[in-house]
Amino acid sequence: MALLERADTLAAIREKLETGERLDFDDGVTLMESDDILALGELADLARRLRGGDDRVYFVQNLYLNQTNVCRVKCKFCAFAVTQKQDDAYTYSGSELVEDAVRQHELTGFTEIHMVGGETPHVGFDYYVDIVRSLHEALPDVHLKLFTASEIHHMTKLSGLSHEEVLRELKAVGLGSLPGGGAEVFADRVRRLVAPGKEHPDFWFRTHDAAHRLGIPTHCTMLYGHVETYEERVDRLRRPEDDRGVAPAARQHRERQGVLDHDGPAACPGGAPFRRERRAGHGRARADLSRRRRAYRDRAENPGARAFRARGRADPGAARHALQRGGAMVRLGRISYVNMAPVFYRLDAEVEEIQGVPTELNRRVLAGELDVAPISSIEYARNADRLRLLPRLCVSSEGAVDSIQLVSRKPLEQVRSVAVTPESATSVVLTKVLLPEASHVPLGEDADAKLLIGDAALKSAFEDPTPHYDLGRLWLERTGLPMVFAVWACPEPLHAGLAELEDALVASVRLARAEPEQLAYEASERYGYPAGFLARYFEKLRYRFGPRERAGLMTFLELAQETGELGEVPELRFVREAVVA
Amino acid sequence: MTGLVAQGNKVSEGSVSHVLERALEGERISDAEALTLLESRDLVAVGRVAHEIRNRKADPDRITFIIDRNLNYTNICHTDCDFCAFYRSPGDTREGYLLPKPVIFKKIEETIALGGTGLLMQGGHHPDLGIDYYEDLFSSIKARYKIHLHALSPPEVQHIARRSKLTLWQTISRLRDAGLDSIPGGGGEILVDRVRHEIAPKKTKTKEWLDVMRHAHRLGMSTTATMMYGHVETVAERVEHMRRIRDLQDETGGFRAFISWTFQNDGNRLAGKVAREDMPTSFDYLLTQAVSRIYLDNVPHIQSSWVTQGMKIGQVALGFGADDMGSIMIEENVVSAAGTTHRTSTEELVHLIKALGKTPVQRDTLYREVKVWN
Repeated sequence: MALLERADTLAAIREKLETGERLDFDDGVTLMESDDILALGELADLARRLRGGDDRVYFVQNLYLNQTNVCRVKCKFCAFAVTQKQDDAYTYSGSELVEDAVRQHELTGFTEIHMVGGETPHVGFDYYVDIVRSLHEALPDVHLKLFTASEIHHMTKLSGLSHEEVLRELKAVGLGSLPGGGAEVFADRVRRLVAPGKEHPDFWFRTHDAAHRLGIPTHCTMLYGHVETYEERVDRLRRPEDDRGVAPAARQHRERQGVLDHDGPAACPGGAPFRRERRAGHGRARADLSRRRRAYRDRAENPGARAFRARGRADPGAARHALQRGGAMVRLGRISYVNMAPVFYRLDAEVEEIQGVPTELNRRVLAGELDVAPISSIEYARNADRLRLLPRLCVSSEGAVDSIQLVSRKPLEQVRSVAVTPESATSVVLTKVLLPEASHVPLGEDADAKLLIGDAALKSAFEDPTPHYDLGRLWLERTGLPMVFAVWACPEPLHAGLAELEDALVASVRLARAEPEQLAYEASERYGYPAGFLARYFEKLRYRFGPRERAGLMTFLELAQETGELGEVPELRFVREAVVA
Repeated sequence: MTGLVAQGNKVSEGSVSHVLERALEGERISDAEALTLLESRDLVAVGRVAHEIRNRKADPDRITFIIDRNLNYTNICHTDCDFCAFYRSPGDTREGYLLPKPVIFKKIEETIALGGTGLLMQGGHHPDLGIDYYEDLFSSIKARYKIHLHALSPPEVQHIARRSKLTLWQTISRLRDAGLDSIPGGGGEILVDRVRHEIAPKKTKTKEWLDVMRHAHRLGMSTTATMMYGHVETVAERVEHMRRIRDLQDETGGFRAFISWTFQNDGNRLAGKVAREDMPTSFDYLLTQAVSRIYLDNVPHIQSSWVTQGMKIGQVALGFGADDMGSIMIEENVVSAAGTTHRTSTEELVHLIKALGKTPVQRDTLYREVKVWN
């Protein structure tokens, strides 16, 4: 009817649903951002029916058990976990669980046991094998849906076995399926906020992937509405799909999703509707796909070493835009980090590009060897009398930035010493501003906390279970403003082509923003990070130097002066006054 | 009944869309068509059309609410309604009360201090209170405070008329002169005498309820209309109720808003008359509210009832034809006596409205903008 056929933002998504086309990341965000509850409800019902749903609604009669409430992890949303020493701590033996289950089975006739519990370090893997075997032998017709991925991961630690071996042993004694608990929201930022002690989300995928290979069906879950963004929710829905796309068992996985009959055909695993698909119109789409998938597989199978190999080879694109058109080319500095990718994405300008680490660029700008380069905010301020700024560009973040992390076992208010890297002056000063009580020591020396930036920070967030504190987020919490990490500084005398170059840099950023997936793919090729990871990372960075960013920069410089890190807060002087909306 | 529903599922699938088509084209739907919608299970389709019609009648980007106080000046009542857990019988000196004037004044002062613009005053049918009491109370309130008096549901007005041996016209006109600004639609329940006889045998009958509203409208007062359903009425009787509202509205145009809710089933005798499997659910609530928006094409505002449905459904209902979230209810005694205690604050209401992507607008009793909560 007319209303329902009316063109709106959801019309394209409805069409995809009807034609069986997968929804992409942007579709997911569009859905999340829609305020048309009923249109969403109708689409969801359509999706349900298209997957075979009818007028029946399923439920299962099950028995919910917790084998133990002792847990080593301290998740912020959990009111269940206790330590072994607390009075109300319990860990039930196989025979205790069987006694309870058999008695209740006589009363209710349940068909399934759903059992999860804390990650107790006070048992061995044999304990888990024993409780599964006992329950299965006592109630052989009852389906055993047991243990979150976190618990399976915990068992690998207890036993020294791989995820697959743990699951194989449990399956052999009666494990029927896994519930999907412990997934929360996968975004690393969110995990660190709500469950800093939990293992990295990739282990969730490894566990479930291993289960699917062994023919153990699983559920997946999402706990949302806390600190996550809409994008992170969509990412959460999308990720099982990406993972599935690389696993050899992918097809079986899809077929197996119906195994849990009480879920009905619309159960989530493998059926998650979102997949980050490349936009149409980019010619290399097909060829790219396998590479992108490999990147994901690297991450899924070996989240540590291989996923983050930084290749550091020359950018073939650099030559492309360095076309000589006559006259002295602008010498443009480029930080060798991945955060430069949007600025150089489709830079249409004649420049001589000089790449280097931040300290190198700082030095060369001040020596007049570069006409313009992104330099750290604090270095700019210390030399502001000799420098002017491009008025429309900076590198900033409003909240988490991922690449600047304080790693600390102690709560931040108790940190008295920080080991810092000399690589980034601004991050060091920011640490000083945020933790004025803490003294600084060189990296490698003993300290309460350590400051990591760039690749080291990104890698560590994946590999190290120690709580990570994102300085961009801490800054936002402290000031309510974006944190400006770098500005584009130009030594005097100024090159005549700077205004034109700035236009070209801004245009490149704009194009990069319009094509986030192409950007992520190309940056992935150049820097070696997984494309999906980069897409999320770029979303956090801002390049526009607007009024809020300027306020953030000035606030930072004022606080830096208070801590003695800056002599005088300079007035910002620009290459030209731009109209800032 | 069950036969009708089962049949409806099979043959009226097309006619649900037909009814919705007609409603979207701006045509008035018939009683039979309203019944078709109420008996359908197409909550989303009915809801979307109700929402579309709401968007045509009221600003699609705004949701209104009011800050007012529900002041129950007495709980003494001789009407003995089955669904009421609030009243106490005359002579009950232990739990019966009649608020003294200073207490009422204090409550009004609190209301104004909280940014409130109105007072919703309703109470039991106290055998000792005649028109003199109300004239004195209203005029002394109006002499002291600038506040909108939205008071005395039709059964109370009828009670005062009887007690003081006046006609309805005389009663309402004197109350208006003493300061009464508008009359709430309480006591409407289901405007079908079969039902009224069953659930509230001593209470105002359909014709009398409508007469109070008719007189009030003619005297220049606007009022609201309500419906309490999901107990012993049939779905057809719900439609009959709405038809009576629509007919009177055609005649007088005096209803500002329609508010419907499911009856609350704790602490009252009516609960015993409703089988467990017939208890109304959130589904019934949303569907009925959506149908009321479509059917009552001449009533400007539909309120969602978070007080009875809770904040969650109260918010969702704003997508099913409602354009107003009612009052933050600084004080509410009647519904909470029946076991339903949903409380809110302006902050919470504003948050719920903003979460829908709408602008929360505080209004007064007559739906005039007081403040935009950005």
